[in-house]
Amino acid sequence: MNADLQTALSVFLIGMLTVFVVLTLVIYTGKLVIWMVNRTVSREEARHLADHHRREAQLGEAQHHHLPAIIAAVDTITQGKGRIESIEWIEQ
Amino acid sequence: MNEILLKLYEMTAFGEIVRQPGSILMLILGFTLLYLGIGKKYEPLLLVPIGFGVLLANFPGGNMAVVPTTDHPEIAHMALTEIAAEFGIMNMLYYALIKTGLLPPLIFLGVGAMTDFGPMLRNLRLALFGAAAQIGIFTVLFSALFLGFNLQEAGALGIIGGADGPTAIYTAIKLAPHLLGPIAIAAYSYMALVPVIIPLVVRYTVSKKELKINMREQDREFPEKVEIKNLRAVKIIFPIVLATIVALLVPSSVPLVGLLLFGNLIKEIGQETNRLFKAASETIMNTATIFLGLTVGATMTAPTFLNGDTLKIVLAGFLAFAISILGGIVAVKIYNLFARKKINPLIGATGLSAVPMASRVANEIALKYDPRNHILQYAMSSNISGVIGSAVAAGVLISFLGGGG
Repeated sequence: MNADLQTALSVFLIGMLTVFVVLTLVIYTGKLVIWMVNRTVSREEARHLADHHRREAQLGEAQHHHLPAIIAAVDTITQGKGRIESIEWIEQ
Repeated sequence: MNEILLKLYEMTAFGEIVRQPGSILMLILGFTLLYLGIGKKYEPLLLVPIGFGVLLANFPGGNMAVVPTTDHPEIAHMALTEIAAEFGIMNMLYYALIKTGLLPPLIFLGVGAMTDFGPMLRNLRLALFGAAAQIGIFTVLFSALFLGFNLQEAGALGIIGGADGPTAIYTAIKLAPHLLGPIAIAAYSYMALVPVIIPLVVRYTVSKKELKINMREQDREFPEKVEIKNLRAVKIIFPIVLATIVALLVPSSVPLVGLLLFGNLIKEIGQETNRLFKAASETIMNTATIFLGLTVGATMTAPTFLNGDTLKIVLAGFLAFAISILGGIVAVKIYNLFARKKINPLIGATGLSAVPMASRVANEIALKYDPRNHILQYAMSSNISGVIGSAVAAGVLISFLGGGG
């Protein structure tokens, strides 16, 4: 039993350490990839992408403010059976 | 006349049911799982096939119950066609798809194809709380040993704390295949009970003031320094780089993490790999889910399920689950002691893998205390990293306790 407990303690320490190391690497990998991609994007592309992100953010804000109303409307029309799968911004 | 009636009685399953009353209890369990899946809508995609698998395995004479290798050691050396001929098709499916560990990685492929790493990439620092929430997996190793399980069984049991069904099944297959049925049931039952367990743990560990921490306001007060200029490119490169790093560090987690990231890659590439994405997220995922559920259900027969171990697994599984939630919450509280930019402790509670249910539950709790505090996107970050974290934890357990898997 003592040997088992010792093994369990090793697995506990190594396991938690490994999980923390891997997820720290996930964070830094993500940061590195973002940095690399940001460097390769030209000014013009960045402006174009920023516009795109702004539209997405507007959509997000719209969803944030109007989501309860949209959910209520779908619930009323479908009598509680409907489900919202996605909400898209329609360009005017 | 009596002889004819006797033959009719023997032809039906009634005689066998009378001889094995335990199978009646198993049939009741099967019906209960079906009720929970269909009536209560608790994880219906898994509980319905598992419940029906339990029924199929316990209808006497159906020859659909999975035969453990402990009862028939020769089965390990038989060809699949021989297994099908001698022990029935369910055993053939079990030994071809489950015992080989094939289905859980296939399900991870589908999960990857349905996962969006966007929320995690936008809030990368929150991913660390997915690590803290794996503490239940390793803590329960000790309690399982005290309950009389050996190390391999304890490892298989602890993984329930990761709140990830396929990971739990994969680890159980590798470490303690004889406990597969109860572990799968405990894992999926607790995942279905996430809307009950997270609020329960949160109620006793998080103050109202902490629950009102508004993540958007914190973001406005302390904005991120780096913006993502091309999210699509980042999302495509990220799974490739991450798969390489994880494969080098924890090779035994590659079957799960590797396929998760491959599934994600074919989703993010877009139109060019749309057919692969559809196959992974629909055809393969659904087929794997059906066979996984049915075969896991078919492992649950009266002799393998109706014993003290099952009760211990259910209890220790709950402990693992609750400690994991607590671990995430405590990690956020410690972080908040030192950081200017505060984090809502609910983000830590979602470090479990139960995606996206844990995030939805956390979001609902946050909205109850502040109707403007939408934390779903933030919770998804630790929630998604929890999937990677639990798969890595499974890899560690398999490496150390399973002799290299």
